Amino acid sequence: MFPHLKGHGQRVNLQLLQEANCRELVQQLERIEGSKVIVLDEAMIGPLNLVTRPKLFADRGIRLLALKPELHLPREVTNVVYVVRPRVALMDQLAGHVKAGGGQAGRQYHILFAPRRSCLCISQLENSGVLGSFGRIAELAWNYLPLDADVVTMELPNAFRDVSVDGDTSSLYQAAVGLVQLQRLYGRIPKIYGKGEQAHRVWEHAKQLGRDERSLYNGDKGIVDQLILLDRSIDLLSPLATQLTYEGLIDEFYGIRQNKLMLPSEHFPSDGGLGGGAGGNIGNGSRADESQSLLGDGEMKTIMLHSGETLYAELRNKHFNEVTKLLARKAREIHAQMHATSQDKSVKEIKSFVENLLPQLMAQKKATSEHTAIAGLLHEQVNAVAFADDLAAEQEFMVCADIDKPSAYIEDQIASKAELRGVLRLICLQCAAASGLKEKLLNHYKRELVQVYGLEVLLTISNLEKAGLLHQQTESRAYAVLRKTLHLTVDDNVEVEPKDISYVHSFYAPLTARLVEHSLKPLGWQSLKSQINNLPGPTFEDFQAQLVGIGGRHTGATVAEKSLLHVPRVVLVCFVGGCTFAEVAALRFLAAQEDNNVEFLIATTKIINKHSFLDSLMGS
Amino acid sequence: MPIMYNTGEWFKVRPDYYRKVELATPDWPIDLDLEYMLVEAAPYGGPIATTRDPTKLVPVKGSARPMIRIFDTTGRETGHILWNHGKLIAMGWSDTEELICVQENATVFVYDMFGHEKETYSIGDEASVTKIVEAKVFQSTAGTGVAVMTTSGRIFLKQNSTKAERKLPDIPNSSMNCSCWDIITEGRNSYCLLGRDKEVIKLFPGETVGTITANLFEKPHERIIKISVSYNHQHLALYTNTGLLWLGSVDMRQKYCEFDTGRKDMPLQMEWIMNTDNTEADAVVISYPSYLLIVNRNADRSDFPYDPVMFLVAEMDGVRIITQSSHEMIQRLPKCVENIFAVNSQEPASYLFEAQKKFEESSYKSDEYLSMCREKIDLAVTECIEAASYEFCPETQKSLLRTANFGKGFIFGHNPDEYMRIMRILRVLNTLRHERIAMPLTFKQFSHLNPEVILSRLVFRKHYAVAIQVAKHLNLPESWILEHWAYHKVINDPNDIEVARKITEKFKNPSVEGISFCNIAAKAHQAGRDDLAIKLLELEPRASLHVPLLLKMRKFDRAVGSATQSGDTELITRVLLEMKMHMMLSNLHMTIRDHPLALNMYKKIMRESNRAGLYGIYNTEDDQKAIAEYHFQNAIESEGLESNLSLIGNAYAAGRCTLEAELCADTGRLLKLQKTLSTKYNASLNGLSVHDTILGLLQIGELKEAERIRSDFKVPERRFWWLRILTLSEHHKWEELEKLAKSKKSPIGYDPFVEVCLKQGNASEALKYIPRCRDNRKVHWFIRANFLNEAIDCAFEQRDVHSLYELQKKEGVVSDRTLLGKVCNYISMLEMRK
Repeated sequence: MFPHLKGHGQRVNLQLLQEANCRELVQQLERIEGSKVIVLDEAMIGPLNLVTRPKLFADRGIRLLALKPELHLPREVTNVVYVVRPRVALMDQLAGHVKAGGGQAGRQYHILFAPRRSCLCISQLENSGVLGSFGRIAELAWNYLPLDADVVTMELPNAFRDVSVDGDTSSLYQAAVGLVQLQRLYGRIPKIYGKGEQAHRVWEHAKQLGRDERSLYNGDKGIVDQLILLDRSIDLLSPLATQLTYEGLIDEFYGIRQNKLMLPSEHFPSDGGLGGGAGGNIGNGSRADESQSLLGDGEMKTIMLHSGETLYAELRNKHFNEVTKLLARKAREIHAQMHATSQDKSVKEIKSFVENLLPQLMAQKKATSEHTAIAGLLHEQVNAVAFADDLAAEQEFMVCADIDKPSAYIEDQIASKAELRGVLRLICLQCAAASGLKEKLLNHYKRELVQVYGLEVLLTISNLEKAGLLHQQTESRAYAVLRKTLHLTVDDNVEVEPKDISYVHSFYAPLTARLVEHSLKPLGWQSLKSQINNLPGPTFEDFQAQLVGIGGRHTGATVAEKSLLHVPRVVLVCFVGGCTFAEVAALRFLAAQEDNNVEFLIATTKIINKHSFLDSLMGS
Repeated sequence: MPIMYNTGEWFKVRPDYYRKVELATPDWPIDLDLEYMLVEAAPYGGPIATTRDPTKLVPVKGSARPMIRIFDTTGRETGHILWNHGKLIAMGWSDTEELICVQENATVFVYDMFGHEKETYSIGDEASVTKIVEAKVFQSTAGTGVAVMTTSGRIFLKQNSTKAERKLPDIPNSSMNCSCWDIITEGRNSYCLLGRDKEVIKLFPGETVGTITANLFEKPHERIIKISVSYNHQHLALYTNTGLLWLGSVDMRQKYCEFDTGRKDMPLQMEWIMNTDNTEADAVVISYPSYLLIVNRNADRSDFPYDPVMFLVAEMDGVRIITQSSHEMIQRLPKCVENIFAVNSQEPASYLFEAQKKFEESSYKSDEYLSMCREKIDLAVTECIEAASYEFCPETQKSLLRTANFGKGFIFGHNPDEYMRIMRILRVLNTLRHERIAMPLTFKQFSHLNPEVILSRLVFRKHYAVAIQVAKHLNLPESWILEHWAYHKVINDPNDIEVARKITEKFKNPSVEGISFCNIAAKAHQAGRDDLAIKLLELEPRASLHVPLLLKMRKFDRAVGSATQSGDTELITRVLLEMKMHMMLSNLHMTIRDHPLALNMYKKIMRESNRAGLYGIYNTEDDQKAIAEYHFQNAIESEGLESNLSLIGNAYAAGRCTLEAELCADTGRLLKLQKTLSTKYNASLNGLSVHDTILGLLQIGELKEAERIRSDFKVPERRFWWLRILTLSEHHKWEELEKLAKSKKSPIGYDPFVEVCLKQGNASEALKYIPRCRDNRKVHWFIRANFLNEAIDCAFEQRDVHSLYELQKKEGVVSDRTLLGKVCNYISMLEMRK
């Protein structure tokens, strides 16, 4: 059902995870007898899309509705199942529905909390006096959800903010639960490395939770060889930086939501004009089927962006400058292939061409035209003056040029009252690169911001300070040092057919990806340990050994396994607090290098970008 | 075949063999004389309850109060009950080994096998008022029931302690003269069969009146005096005062036989003997004083002289006989045992048995015997294994199993599972039959009860060590046994430290799986031993398990501590909600302040439910910055920023946020100023930022006022210039802009001038300022202003090949032949120079 989750030759098959999650939902639903309608919290639409298909609900005659304060429930339905995040604010809506639908005899309400049942929500319902109307109140333990063949996400956009600003560490605990769940599916992870305070907490919780799962420790090690836990707070530069990969740019400008890109359909040639032959129609059919979202709307065109789409899989991680070239080449190839056939060939050959190759070609052509359209849109954005100026300023910071002085560019931006988020991004970038701003400079920026944007901006700044994005300079110049020792910025940058991960930001390699790269080397983590001491939070490593002598019988398979040296290691990289597509691209680049002989599974609280990251922090 | 292996205990009741098996001899206490006792024994080798038979004359010893004594099958006293209620009518055992005692006023008392009272209930008011004369304890589908017969001859029955009692229909004609009765369970219903004179009356619940069946006997008699139903409620036996015995089906439609015992004395008891290898019953055993009679359906008999007093216990596969000096079991001989051990048996199993024996004697005859059973050797092996399961004597079991082991060597690909299973179970059975445990179970009973039930019975008898060994042996979970052991310790051992130590010692064993200290701690709490409970909870690593109990014990401090340690935010929230309900707010604050995570979660709860509550916490924490932000947030929401500014500013100041405090003061000043300015210039400036205020003033041309504010609020020169050029360009005041540019050196350079001109689409105006821009930006601005020629020249001047290449690709250049030539020319020149 989810072919894109089973990557080509990937050792970890995330379909298992999808199936497990889906099964859990189905089991919960089956426990409720009678006709049902599911009411979805907006934040749950995405997660639901990741593990289920509309067919699942259609087959069971279950309708899906979005959670709104005013909800018109079908009269004849006997069960209303809410699938919600445990947010107290939502409970008033639920209470409203129950009170409004009070006349309906025999109707039962149920709640599935994802990922955790919340006593706070339940007590809120109790206070509203409607708890009695709820039958099942259960939890849907969806922690990690499969996004792509090598990415799992918790879909918690506010995870970093909750932890750093509000001190609510629920997401850390859930990440730990998720790690245990992953181990249940894919086996014990023997080696664990990590950096950062929250990452450490996640691991401590996971270890504690795993302690009771004896079965985990009895068998041989699982598919995953290593776990690397990285705290977002050790690298706040990367999420703020402009991503220059195709996927990263799409996400920053248009936002990719659970593998889906929504764009006004006017930007795309109509399907009819393009399809032409029968093959095109087949392609359209399946595409329309797939892109049909659970609660879709018609005006926009939806494009699926995941590794199941061959062309996209090829383009997504490339630097944008390379993408245009690749697209042009692709178009030429298709053209050539289409026309090569018109020359003299036997009827038989033509027949086989029409039957086999043509539909493929039509699909390719359609994909190419779609991506050419997207690339065209991006090209306009990237060539805008503001983008180039912003990027130039950002890159100045990355190389630590004039890092301790007030930036003229930032001052000009403030003076012309540019968008606050963009200005704050640059200030935070400067702060990250300089490992803190001098008190005088910080105060200067604050005063400027208040004078231009008003006093309220202080509250936003306070959030950024709590999150560690703005702070006074400390002794250690972590970034400046690591830039040199870990070659975070490279001089001889190559954007097309690169040799180094720094291409994802043109010449800057995300620290997180660099750490992973170094840890792959023999004794990598050991030599890394001393180098990253100046980053905040503890550096830790752990080992989960097999419990010997209890129940576990040695199967002898380990010996056979060891002889297979050419089998790639599987490393689970867990980003606590979110990661960007550029970081994902960098890791995929590393995995593609044959020397490394490694396969990554990336786990994150959410895929973030510079906009969404700041947005989550700026709200009150 | 040999005469050995207890075949001496066999006897024939044609056509079948029966046997008496000797079980462990009971060693009754000296002061117990069964002759004067009423004895009730539980099936499945369960406990035995005795009390003095009030109908017999006994020399009074000790207390006059009646006492019920409970023994196990070896005569060891496990408990006693001092009966200080009314007149005891009957006793019986439930299927869960509880002693059920029925009193004259229809009250039922239930005790466990140690004599601890568990519950009491009544069989209805009517029975209670009219008093009862007889009672029977019977097995129904719903559990163990009690039936009573009142003095008025009514019968009530209750299928278990929770179900309502039912009144059975009237007895037709007279309700007097009923000589005997029994309860039969059929499907979900239980009914009563009653013997009156020559009739049997069936009282079925729900019917209005009983149905009478008469003329069952052919031979003359006066009345039926005994009625007995088989263990499976399928067969009925009736006994008359003339010694006639009637055997038939329970519905009385089928008569197996009528038999004249020829005895005139009253029988003591009459029970059906269930078959060992199926669920039928072929014979009854009748006990008389000093005499035992066995009669089967074929009206064949066998009899034995016996002890003067004996008690029969019907089992699912035989009848046990308990006397003062012995404990025996009568059962029909299983076919397989007969096949092997019967004299002159021609069965393959018998030959195999002999072959094995000869083999051990190293006799060549082994082969001869073997060849006689070679064809059916698998049948022989199966029978040997099966026969072993029926045997009580370990030696016999061993020799049979040895035979099976010997025989299976001759079978290709024999599956040893059954052999292994039987061997395991036999080992367990032998242990259970040992006099220390005293649970003489047959293999069939064992299988019927389930090993789990047996384990729980062992645990109940506090045979923990044996139970654990049995569980291990049968590959069953054993942790729960340990848990029960721990419960026992918790309840009976008064030394906290010692108990905790013993429990941890046992639980540390890594093979102990899925066991929780919490359940034990909960027991300790129930027993009122909170200190011990806490000690035990400290050993439980999973916070989700021990926190709820801590909450129950109101140990909030510990609960908060361990919840925080677990990191489980949901758990922390639960603790906090509970604490909020039971604690003073100030205490709560003090308790959670040592636990940052709990504090954060508490703040989060308050933020969502009760913002005002936050203030209290911040105050306790003396977090002035948070207080400032709290007021700030409130001010924004109530749109009363101005009135709250001093409050906010003071809090900031107290929190050492000097800059923030200063900015608040500035804003206050600004707001005042804005009011005067707004009225003065009739403009709406209220609530704007400093920047926007200046902008507003500039837009209405009030440069002087703008300047004043600039200096008042220390607006940097650069930003002021920006504002000026922005307003000027927006109003297309190009001359003034130029004047400004020339007035003095621009602190922001001249790039912004170009930018604002371009923004307004005035390229020619922009051109004025490009030369004054920074050198490296000039080409950029020329290109943006679309002065391509100038851009090319400028780039060449600065030897900027990169920009030239960029220009070469520009549409404007590509389309203009002269420009293109120029670019190419310059590029080649610069490349040459390199």
